[in-house]
Amino acid sequence: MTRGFSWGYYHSDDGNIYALQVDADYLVMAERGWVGPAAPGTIVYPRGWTPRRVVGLDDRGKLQQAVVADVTADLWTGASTTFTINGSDELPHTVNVILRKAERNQVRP
Amino acid sequence: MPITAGIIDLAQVPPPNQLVKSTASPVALANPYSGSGNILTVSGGVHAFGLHWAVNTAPSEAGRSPRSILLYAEPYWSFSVHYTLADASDFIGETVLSGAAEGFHLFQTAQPASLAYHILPGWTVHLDWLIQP
Repeated sequence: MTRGFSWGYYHSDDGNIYALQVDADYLVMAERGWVGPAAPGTIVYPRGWTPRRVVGLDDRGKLQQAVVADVTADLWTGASTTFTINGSDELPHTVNVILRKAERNQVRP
Repeated sequence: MPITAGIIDLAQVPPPNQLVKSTASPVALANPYSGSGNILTVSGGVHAFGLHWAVNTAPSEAGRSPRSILLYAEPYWSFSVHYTLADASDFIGETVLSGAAEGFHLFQTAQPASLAYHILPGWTVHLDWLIQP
């Protein structure tokens, strides 16, 4: 059964708040910093930009990543050093953070 | 300069265990530092043999990796050590580019004249001289 996606508010480094599609389960994981669902009509996060994300190693040593919606989120500040992903085995897996990758954006007209 | 018993030759850089940190000598440091500028490394006969740095503030948006020490994805500061040659010309020695949140550097050759630094926007850095006690 698919979990589905939702739209959450993403606080961009350019100072704007955009709507960005996110796994519905991840939307409610507080450490990721999401608030939502985003209201209809919210400007969508521009294509070609890359949202900030944390990268980590899961329990099998494989790289995983999670988009972090706000720089005040625990995953970004370091208050939280792990996050949980839903594996293809339909089980949660803990990921230990090894890297925080900044957002990449461009000047928007 | 002759070597005198108990006094380290100023032409050589002593090991760290013979040095101490200072923000007052040879030149008072105006911490925290940002942007770019130059700092004299000798004054009143006192020479700095190196410097210690630590991030004071960093942009909350900056990418980083928590390793043995916090490493920023973007090397946020660099400095170049300037020496004065016998003909009074300025000579740029070693350049250090670092994204580490803290570290120290001993000058490759003793008695540099000054240090030029450049810090990326959004970062401020705390500096300490490494001098003989």
